[in-house]
Order: sequence, then structure tokens, then C-alpha cells
Amino acid sequence: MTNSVGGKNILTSDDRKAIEELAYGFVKKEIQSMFSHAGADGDLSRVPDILEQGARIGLLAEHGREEAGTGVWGTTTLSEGPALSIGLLKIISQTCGGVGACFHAAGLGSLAADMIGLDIDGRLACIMPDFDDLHVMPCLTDAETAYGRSSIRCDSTDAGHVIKGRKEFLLQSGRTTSYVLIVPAKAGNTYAWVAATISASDDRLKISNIQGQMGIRAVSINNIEIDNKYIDKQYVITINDKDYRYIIYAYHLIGLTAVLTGIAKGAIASAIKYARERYQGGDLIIKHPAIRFLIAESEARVMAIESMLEGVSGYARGDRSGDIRGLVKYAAALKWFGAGECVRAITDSLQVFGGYGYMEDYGMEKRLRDGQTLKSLSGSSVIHRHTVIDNMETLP
Amino acid sequence: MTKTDFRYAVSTLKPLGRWLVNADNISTWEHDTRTLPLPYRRLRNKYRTFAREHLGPIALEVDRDIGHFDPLPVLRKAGRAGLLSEFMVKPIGSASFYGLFHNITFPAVLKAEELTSVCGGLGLLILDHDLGVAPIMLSGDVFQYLKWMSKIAYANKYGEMCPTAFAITEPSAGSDVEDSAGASSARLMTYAEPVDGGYVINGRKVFISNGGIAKYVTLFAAIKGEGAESWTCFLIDRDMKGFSVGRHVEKKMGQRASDASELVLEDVFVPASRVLGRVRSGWAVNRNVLAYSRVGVAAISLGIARGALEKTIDFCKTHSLAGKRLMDYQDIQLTVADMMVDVAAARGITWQAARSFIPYQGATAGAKVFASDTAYRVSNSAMEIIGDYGYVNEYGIEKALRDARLTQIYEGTNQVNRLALIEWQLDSELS
Ligand SMILES: Cc1cc2nc3c(=O)[nH]c(=O)nc-3n(C[C@H](O)[C@H](O)[C@H](O)COP(=O)(O)OP(=O)(O)OC[C@H]3O[C@@H](n4cnc5c(N)ncnc54)[C@H](O)[C@@H]3O)c2cc1C
Repeated sequence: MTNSVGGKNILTSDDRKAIEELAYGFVKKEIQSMFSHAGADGDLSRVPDILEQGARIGLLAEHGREEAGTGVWGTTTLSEGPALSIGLLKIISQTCGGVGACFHAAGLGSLAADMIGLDIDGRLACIMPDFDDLHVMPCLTDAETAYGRSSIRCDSTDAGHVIKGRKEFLLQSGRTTSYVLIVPAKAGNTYAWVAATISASDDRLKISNIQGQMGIRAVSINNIEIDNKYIDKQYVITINDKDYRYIIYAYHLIGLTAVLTGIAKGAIASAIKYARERYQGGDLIIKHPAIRFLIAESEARVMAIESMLEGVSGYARGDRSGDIRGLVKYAAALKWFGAGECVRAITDSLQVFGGYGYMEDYGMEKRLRDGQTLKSLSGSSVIHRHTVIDNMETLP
Repeated sequence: MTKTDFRYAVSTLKPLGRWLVNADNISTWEHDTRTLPLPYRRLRNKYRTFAREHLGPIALEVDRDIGHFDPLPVLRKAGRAGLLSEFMVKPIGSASFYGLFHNITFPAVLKAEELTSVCGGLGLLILDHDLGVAPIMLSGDVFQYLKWMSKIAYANKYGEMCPTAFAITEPSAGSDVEDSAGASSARLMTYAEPVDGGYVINGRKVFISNGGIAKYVTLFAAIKGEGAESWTCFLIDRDMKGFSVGRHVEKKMGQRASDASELVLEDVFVPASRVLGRVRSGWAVNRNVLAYSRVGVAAISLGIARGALEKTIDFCKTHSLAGKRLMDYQDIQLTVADMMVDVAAARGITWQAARSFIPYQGATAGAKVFASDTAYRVSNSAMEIIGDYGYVNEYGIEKALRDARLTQIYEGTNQVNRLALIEWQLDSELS
């Protein structure tokens, strides 16, 4: 499907179209049916199978699986940037934000492994150190600062590395077999960022599922604890190039916003359909300015975020491809601002349904729960605003 | 405290100057309570104590346990505490003469804020009873008021429980039964046919809060062959032949402790003595109930917003980052300040609308819109501040957001309430 230019895979617009068509068909066949008889969140037992099907037909990246290169966060991302993944995540999330979040989480783990050059097979989840200071994302700081602050860290000796710590609120597809760890390490007086993997079944790894999450219930949100895991030297890679961390962090925020945008698009489409059928106030409600404005404003919000998503894709191409700080700033602004706008579009679309929007029947309350959860996920708006200002070009 | 701290500097003032500074180290709740007359202060305290003792401990569990929760024990506690008999004076009911004849809306607003600050759903479960009996009061028939209110208040306070519900919404007439313009073309489906000794009612009502548990339902129906202008209010007993509850627990996003049920009426015979007020006066009764109850929804919204704020403050006081309490970060303080301002503004507009002896549609619709939008905004800010913890059920903040969202929909959507405000003022400052 792809052409090779200078060793990089380039997708033609026809290729893109074909992949998106494939995604629409997949959503219709596999994801919509999840909701036919089950409650608001769908038949969650089907999610692993949906992911498997997605990977098999090339819609979801899976490390070491050739056909998935063009899927969500597939290897084409390395040459083309996030545009294709954004498109696919939007299509999937129009029907189910939770499944969209699964595709995002699973794909990103795989991409992280591809970027770093980790040589393992499996369904991966990516772990970066979380923030423990309001003003600093350790993954964006130097290793020494990060080591001092991070909840997961690595102590290195000549013999090998010992990783320990805890990470909360980790988004996972539910079929993870290994974790990719990108953590700050200390060896004597020197600090570095390192990457390693740990098997999901390792007895040094304790995984506990967060109970009672508001939305995106198709995806698991876990806390993990690593109890002094010894990893042999040969399985740990030192990451000298900080861009990897930045790019994965940025893609994480971009992916989450793409999922949110998809949910909002789905909500608007449902609202228009409903407004064309519901009769109140002597007319179809689509004729009332109150409803027209709710829908029009929602559409404008989503259009704005879609332009931002397009804009951020530009950082992977041409002149801007080296502007990693710009990418991080853009991604943080996108997640903070985009999440707010998308959730506003979702809640306004729900309002079009009146009381029916609040009930499970039309799937609108689920969309709002999913959207709100994604909005809070991976750092509060406080953090993202700090990331924006910390990465502004005018600052030294 | 530093020497430039205002509270410290006060000590340097002369006695009169010191007296003119309000430097009391008390919460905004206490400040606000002090502005109230003594009977209301007592009531506010009583409602808060009840909510904390009886609703707080079960709020999260009830929300999770949708469909399995038995509301009667908590209703019984509310009944015994006098919370379900406040439209009838003591000793039968629990209202004081001061309360009932000074202003019946204001205590209801105080009650709504306190109960829903702890749990929107349990609050609605208790408060909806006041909505259910409102047509009995507002239909203007003193004999019916004395007969039914005494019976219901007594049962709730001393005997077997007697919760009530209010039913206007129909499957194809939601906003249309909340709004004058829509009513004339409403597609109604619940009709009362006059027969010997009474009426036979057929039809369906939907989304009726507490409809699944109510002993009596104040239900509105058009006279067969006529439109909404013929609406008549009937007091339906759940044991009447032909009356049934359809979809009992409609699965809803929040406020789950109170069911929203479908009521089905198949040839239900209702004696003429159960018509509340006059035949064909139901539309006016309905609109007046809404004029009162919308300020109740404003207060519910205010309570939910305050609950979200209190939970956020609690979280920020007990969680630290990098060795510093969240509450001590300026980032957090800025947002918490906005939330406090929002809640105070919602309380201002709500109390103002409830202060007049007879509240009017323009004020209560406006208060409902403002307070419910505030509740949603404040619970959103709460979720934002606490980040990932926000979407986890155990902190109660995502629940506050789900509970808040309903206040923008029921008792008329906020769009319809905006139009109601305009309708009411159209012949005065908007003419
Ligand atoms: C949980 C819950 C509890 C409830 N409890 C009760 C209860 O106890 N008793 C009871 O009788 N009802 C109850 N309701 C019903 C509630 O009051 C209605 O849902 C509400 O009035 C909206 O009506 P609808 O759902 O039919 O929406 P619709 O009327 O269909 O409205 C759909 C959309 O169209 C808009 N719209 C409608 N007409 C106009 C117009 N003329 N101009 C501009 N925009 C318009 C609305 O704003 C809304 O956005 C409850 C509802 C819920 C969800």
C-alpha cells in the first residue's frame, strides 16, 4: 500500500482514503454491534476481540506485526507524523470513545517500542514517569531532575539495572502483555533516561485496576507498582536523544484529543438526527434557534479543534519537523483547550435530546461520561497550561 | 500570620475601627447563615445535620447500586425528622407558623441546598415530595388542602410513608408542557373522559421522579377532545385499578437514588372528589407549580455545586505535591476562588428569587438557569483541579458532575426557562 521514498513509507491520498474506508467498515461491523443488546457502555467482554480484529486487518499498530504499520500509531507515524492515527481515532471514537482510547493506548505502546528500537514481541503499554510537581512534567526535564521527582526510577550498576516505583492512572487496552518503561536512571553520579520492558506477568509487577471510573470503560485504567525489578544490562537502552520522550508525550496528548474529537463528532451527528425527528414547540426542534445554535456552536468548536489537530500534524513534516518544543507546546495546548471545547460540544449535543439525553437510551450520557474522563486523564488543565508557557519560543 | 496580614493589622486599630472590621474566622456557610432570621438559621442547621448524618454515609453506595436501592428507610428517616411534612403546620405537620405564613419557599430552598450538597440523588428523593404536593396547595381549594395535606403530612411524620410525585411530562410533550407557546400545539396523549361520578383516564407519563414509589401522584390530563388549556389536575392513588408503573428505573446518568419512571394509565377511574381545584384549571396550576419549583431546582443546583466545591477543598487540603498541600499552590487557589465566587453568586440569585412571599416565573426561571449552569461549571472545575482522581467514583466529584447535569434539563430545559423568563417580562420592561 505504501510507496517508499528515501527509505521512508509515504502514503498517497488514495491509500489514506482506503484505510479510512476500512475503518468505517470495521466500526460498523465490529464496534456498533457491541451496543446492540448491552447496557450503556456496550458489551465490554468483546473489546479484546475487537482489538485483535483491528490489529489483524491493519488498523491498530502492534509491535512486530507488519500489516499494522498503517494502523493507529503504526510505523508510518515515524515518517508521516500523527495525521493518519488522528483520522482513525476520530472514526473509531465516533461510535465508542472507550474503544478509541484502547486503540490509542495499545498503538502508542507499540510506537514507543518501535521508536526506541526495543526488540520484543507483544502487545505493549507505554509508561512514562508521572508528574509529581505541579510545574514540571519529569518526562520533559533532564534525567537528574526527573530522577529526583519521578515515582518510577532506575538504579544502575555495572551488573544491571533495578527499576522500582509506582505509576498511577495508566491507560491500558486490556490485552497488554508487556510494558515499555521510559524512566530516569542513576549510575553513580551520572543520570540518563533509559528504556526497558517488563512482562505483564512478571512477579515483581503488581497491577491494580482503578474501580469505578466514570467513562471510557472499554479501556482499563490501572495503577502499577514495580518492586525492585532487576533487568539485565542488555535489555536496557539508554536514550540519549530526548526527542523520543517529547514525541511520545506529545503523541499521547494528541491521541487523547483525537479520541475526544471523535466522540464530539459522533454526538453532533446524533443530535442533528434527533433534532430532525423530534417535534416540540409546534415544529421540528431543528427549526428552533435554541437548537440550531447549540448544534452550530458545537460544530464550530469541533471544526476549531480539527484545525488544531491538522496544525499539530504539521510539526512532523517539513521545516517544523525538528521543532520538538513547538510540538510539545502545541500538544499541551491542544489537550487542554481541545478537551474543553469537545466536552462542551458533547454536553450541548446532549442538551438537544432534553430528558432523553440524560437516559442511557441514546448513548449521549455515555459520550459525556467518556468525554469528561478523557478531559481529566493524563494531567489536569493546570499542568498543560504550565507546559504551554514553559515551551514558548520567546522564553530562553 | 505575617504583620501585613489583614487580620493581624486589625489589632492596630482603635476599638471602633476594630469593631467595624468583620474579621471573624468562620466559613462562608457560617457567614451566610448569620444573615438569616433566627428560625431560618435553625432550619439551615437542622437540614445540614440531617444530610451529613443520614445521606452522606450512603451517597456513593446508592449511586453505584442503581436498581437495588430501597429508598423507603431513608424516606422514613426524613419523614420522622419532619422533612416530608413542611407544608402543614405543627402538630400534624412540621412547619412553624412563622415558616408557613412568612414564606414557604425560602425554607424549601434552604433544605434543597443542604440535602443536595451531600447527594443530588438522595436530595431529589426527599425534595420531590414537596413538588408532588405543591398542586394540592396551589390549586387554591382550602378544604382539599386541609384534607389531603393533613393526611399525607401525618402519614409521613408518624405513620406509614406517603411519598408523592408530580406528573406532567408525556412521551411526545416535554418542553411543550412547560412552555406557553408549545402547549397550544402539544401532542398530548393523556386524556380524562368525564363519566358518572368522575373521570376515566388513559395515557402515559414519562420521567416521573419517584413515580415508582409514590403513594399519590398529582397528575395532569386534558379533557378528552380538548387541548392543554383543558388540563385538569387529579390526585391519583397508586392502588387505583388500571394504574401501573411501566419502566420503573429508567437508567439515568446521575441523581440515581430517585427513580424516573413511566406511569401507565389504562381506564383508571378517578372520582370527581380527586380533582384538585377546578376542572380545566390544571394548566394554570401546573405553570404556578413550575414558578415555585424552579427556584427549588436552582437550590438543588446550588447544593450540588457547593458539594463539588467542598469535596475539592477537602481533596486539596489532604493531598500534597512535592511536599506542599495542593491548597497552598496559587494555581489551585485561583480556580477554587472562581468556584467560591460562582457558588456565592448562585446562592445570591436563588435566595433573592425565593425571598418574595409569592415567587414569580421570571425570577425563578432565571435563577434556575444561572444556578444549574453554575453547578455544571463548578463541578467541571472540580474535576479539572483534581485531574485523574476526578473521574474515579470514590472521590464523589464525577458524581457531582453527573448529578449537576440533570439540573439543566428538568423542570424545563434551560432553553425553555430562558424563554419563560422572556415571556414573563414581555409586557413590562421588554414591551
Ligand atoms: C431524570 C428526570 C427526572 C424528571 N422528573 C420529572 C417529574 O418528576 N415530573 C415530570 O412531569 N417531568 C419530569 N421530567 C421531565 C423533564 O421536565 C423534561 O425532560 C424536560 O422538560 C424536557 O422535555 P423533553 O425531555 O421531552 O425534551 P424536549 O421537549 O423534546 O426538548 C428537546 C430539546 O428541544 C428544545 N426545545 C423544545 N421546545 C423548544 C422550543 N419551543 N423552543 C426552543 N427549544 C425547544 C429543548 O430545550 C431541548 O433542548 C424529568 C426528566 C428527567 C430527565
